[in-house]
Amino acid sequence: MTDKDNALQQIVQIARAHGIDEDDIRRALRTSDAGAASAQVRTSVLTRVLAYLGGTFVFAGLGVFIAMHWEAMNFASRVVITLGSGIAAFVLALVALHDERYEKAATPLFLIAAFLQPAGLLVIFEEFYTGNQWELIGLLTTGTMAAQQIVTLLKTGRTTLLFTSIVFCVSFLLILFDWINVDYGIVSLVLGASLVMLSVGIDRTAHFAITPLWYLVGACWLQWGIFDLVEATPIEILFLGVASGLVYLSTVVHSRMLLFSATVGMLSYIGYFSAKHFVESIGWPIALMIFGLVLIGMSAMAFRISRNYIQSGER
Amino acid sequence: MKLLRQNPMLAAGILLPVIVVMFFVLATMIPRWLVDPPGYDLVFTSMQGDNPRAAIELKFVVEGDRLRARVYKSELPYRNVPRLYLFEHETQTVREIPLTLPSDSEDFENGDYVEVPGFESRTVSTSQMAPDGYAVHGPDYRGGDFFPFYRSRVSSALTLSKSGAVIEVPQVGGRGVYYYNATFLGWLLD
Repeated sequence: MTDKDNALQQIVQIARAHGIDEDDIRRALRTSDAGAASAQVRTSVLTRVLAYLGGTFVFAGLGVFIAMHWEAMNFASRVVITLGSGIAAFVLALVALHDERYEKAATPLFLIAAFLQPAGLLVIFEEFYTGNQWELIGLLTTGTMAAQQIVTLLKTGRTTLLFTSIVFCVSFLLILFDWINVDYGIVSLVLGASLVMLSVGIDRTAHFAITPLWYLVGACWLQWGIFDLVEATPIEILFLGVASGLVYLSTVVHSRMLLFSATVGMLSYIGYFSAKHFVESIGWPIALMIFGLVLIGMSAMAFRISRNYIQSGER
Repeated sequence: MKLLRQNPMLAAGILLPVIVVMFFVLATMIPRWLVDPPGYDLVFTSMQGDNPRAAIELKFVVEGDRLRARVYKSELPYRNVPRLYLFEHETQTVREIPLTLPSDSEDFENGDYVEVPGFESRTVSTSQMAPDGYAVHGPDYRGGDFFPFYRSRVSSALTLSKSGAVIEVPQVGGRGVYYYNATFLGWLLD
């Protein structure tokens, strides 16, 4: 399949995911041809950059204000400044979604809400909970946030909310696993595998933009979990099998981030294996040279895989 | 639901942790339902930072089936002082056993014994396993770091286990008291 075929396939996939038809594409192509359009795009980029900068300053100011006066605030003030601001940002984001002029403000507002609301909930639970199982506070906070984000995601279909839903669900599961005393190797393996599978699934939807980060986190946790379970056992070599499987998966799903994580995992294992078994027998300098050659070989292989199987199909 | 049916990877990614959580909850709960709860109290010590007025080093010992404390002279201005805790099997709670120490280093000789109130005539077994089959373990200082999401507490508690049922010795009182270097002293047999 040529690069052009691949590109067309991607365009078709994206068009289907967003409900774009031939007329929309034709209109967009015509608009982008016009010189006036490029000036409009430049203005739009400048406006967006300034808006993001402004938003960042406002948020940073709020953060610094809270930090400066935190000790002097009473319980009510702390709740109002964190949960109050968070809920206000959340409501504003929902309102912005219904007005085309402010739609772009919805994403930063949702993010601010996702940051401030759990802080406010923690303040409330910290005040009223007198028990000694702090995991309950964590579960209530992340569980409440996850429920809010998922319900809003189902109603609005915003990618930002999918991202924050995953963040809160993962946090909830981490605390839950800790609470029921599950071994960290198993937690890492299960959540890593789950995140990789979720990313593959999300890649097939209109929300594919968020998957690189989750591929990275998922692949790292998955490999760490496997290594933790098989380290110093007769089946230790299974780790390389899993890392190779992730390299193959990266070509199927066209993810450079997954390829990067799997290659780093493989290299780390080779480094660990050489240090453990060969340093004493062949000496550290020779082991280092062999490792260097393996490193060069692996990078060349990763580069070739990326060029031949991933770049052509990457979105 | 329709989306999950059309996208099996999405469904698998959601279901996998849910199934594992359910498995571990059942694996933890079922032995607790089937195995009798602990039938004996136990005593343990944990180090806590302190600045006692008297220059005393304290050590809890079980000698001849009796729990007592031994006191030694110390020059250190600040030290970790062992506290004595009692795990009560009926309520599965922990309370601290207070101890009256000599107020001045002139009042005692190195290695003097101090009786622990309420323990003068109680028989203490230092065996790891209680007569009812519960064995004491730990602390194993389990902890984990899932950057950037979560950093687990380092569990420093003792655990009691029998036939798959595991009970963590809880923290004393409310929040904020974590056992440091918790050391099992013995089971109270009467």
